[in-house]
Amino acid sequence: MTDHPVARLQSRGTRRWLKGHAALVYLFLYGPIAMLAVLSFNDSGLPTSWGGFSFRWYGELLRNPAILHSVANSLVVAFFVTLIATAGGTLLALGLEQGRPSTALDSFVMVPMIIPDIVLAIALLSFYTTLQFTLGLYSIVLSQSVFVMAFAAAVVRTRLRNFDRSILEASVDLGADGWTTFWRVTLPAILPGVIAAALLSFTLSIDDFVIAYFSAGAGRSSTTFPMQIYAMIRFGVTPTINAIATILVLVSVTLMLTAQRLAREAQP
Amino acid sequence: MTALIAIRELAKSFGPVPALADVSLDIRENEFFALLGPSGCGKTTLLRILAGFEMPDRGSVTLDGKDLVAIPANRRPVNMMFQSYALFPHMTVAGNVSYGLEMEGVKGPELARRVRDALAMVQLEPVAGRKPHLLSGGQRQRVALARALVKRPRLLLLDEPLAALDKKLREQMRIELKRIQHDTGITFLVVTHDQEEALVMADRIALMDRGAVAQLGSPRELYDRPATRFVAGFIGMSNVLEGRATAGGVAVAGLGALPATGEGIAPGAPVSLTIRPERVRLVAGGGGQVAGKITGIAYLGQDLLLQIGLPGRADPLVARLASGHPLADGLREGMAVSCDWAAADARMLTE
Repeated sequence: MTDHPVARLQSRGTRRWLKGHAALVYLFLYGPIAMLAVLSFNDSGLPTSWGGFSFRWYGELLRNPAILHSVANSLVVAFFVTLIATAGGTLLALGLEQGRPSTALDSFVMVPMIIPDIVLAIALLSFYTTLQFTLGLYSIVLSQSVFVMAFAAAVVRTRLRNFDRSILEASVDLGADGWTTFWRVTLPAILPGVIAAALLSFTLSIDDFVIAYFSAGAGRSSTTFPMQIYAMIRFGVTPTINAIATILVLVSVTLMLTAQRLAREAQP
Repeated sequence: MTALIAIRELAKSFGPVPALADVSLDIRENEFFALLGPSGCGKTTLLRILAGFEMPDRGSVTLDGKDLVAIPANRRPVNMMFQSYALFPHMTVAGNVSYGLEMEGVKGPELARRVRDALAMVQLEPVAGRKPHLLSGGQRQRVALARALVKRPRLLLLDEPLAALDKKLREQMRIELKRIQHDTGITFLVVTHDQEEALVMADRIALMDRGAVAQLGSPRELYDRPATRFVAGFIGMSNVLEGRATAGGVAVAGLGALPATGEGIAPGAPVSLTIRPERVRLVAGGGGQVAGKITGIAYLGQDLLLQIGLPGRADPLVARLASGHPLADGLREGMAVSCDWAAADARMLTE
């Protein structure tokens, strides 16, 4: 790596400076997360004193019905959002890649990814109000699906781009109809992209606060996990929240590594 | 021999550009037929119409006397070997080959036997369980061939089948394709831009130019009796001299009357005289019909290629003679030489 042409163009001082900068970024990014994980095992519950290693706060978590209820809500919402957004996003990607290239259509699909969440949240809320739609978990599913689908479509489209279209013609040439071709050739060929889209959809849904908050309605019954944390944090950061956060980090890192590994294995 | 495929006045345009302009030709049962031509000549469009991936604007195609255009691509007794091979990346070699048979409802021992036979024909049994990305280019090409042949189509379409292979493998596969066509008795239609490939493999060649068939015939006919200047220039190498037809040849400005043959050409008509380099004879000690100076010598191993500069002409006359020719050793650049040819070897062309 030392003989990389760009590295050679940089002076020793510049390189040292960049390294220092990188170290600071990593420290700022991972320092608090590491601290949070350590504190979640702190028996004393105080950030200032170490009271010994314990799973106490994790136990507390399991005995808190409000938290468990919100986790259940989030999982149900994420399940349906993953289903809808992955299926819808895949079809969207297939349609866009098959049709005539259109910048206008492309941009319209990107819009939910670009416009601020808060704007989308308010727009959807007033839309539901106009329709006199009762709010609840299903309205959260609907709202999240709108923006998550755009991300899912983008992920599947990158897979479709280096996809040899002649295999679809080959399938038809060998006697398959459109339906069989989709299930036996198209879908298996883009499956790694579809799975990556599903994992991303799940993560985005679990993570979303703003859109869920505006679509949930007034009742406490449709409180999702991030909304529950937000409610709890108003009374200060409790050790229980550290425990929840640690679990969240663990789950999302596992999902991300799985997605990356799937994508790598699928590469020829 | 009967016509398997009859193509009549077939036309297809993409926007304002005609890709096929009223093409008519017959493909016979059990023949190795080549569609040859430069890129953009319409050969691929014709292939895709036969496969069912494009619809013609006008004209008809029949297979065994039945309208082929009305049958959807997945129900035609026609299979295609794609230029990119188009192997299913998520299936094994055996899976790729059995796919087409599964679509026909072939099952159990018969399916297994036919897949095995197809793989044996192209010597791929040892890699039956591998995925395509683990195969070499030559192996992939043979999987694509086995996959298309296993359905025993009435017509097999091959789109530039050898284009992706290196030179040595390409030469082997020409012979191999010819053998497989002979053994299976299936009619092959190969699309290629490589004239050598077409000459080696095909029983008959349709040379296409700008959406039309320029000439249809055996490789020998196309080579020895080209119908137009385009054919003479595309198949092999030809010297072309412009002039006017006379009783026994062509009068070329600055060179006088040169021997050539041509049927039904009125004396005085403007014609092109074409002569193959290997038909140009070197005459020892002068006295030939054409005299010039050697401007270049290229050694090709077996043969020598001579460029002979003619007085008052920009393009040299190219002559090809065996390295063992009695005059070959003495040839030097700048040397004055004299040559001639038999009237039967030079063609007069009006187009």
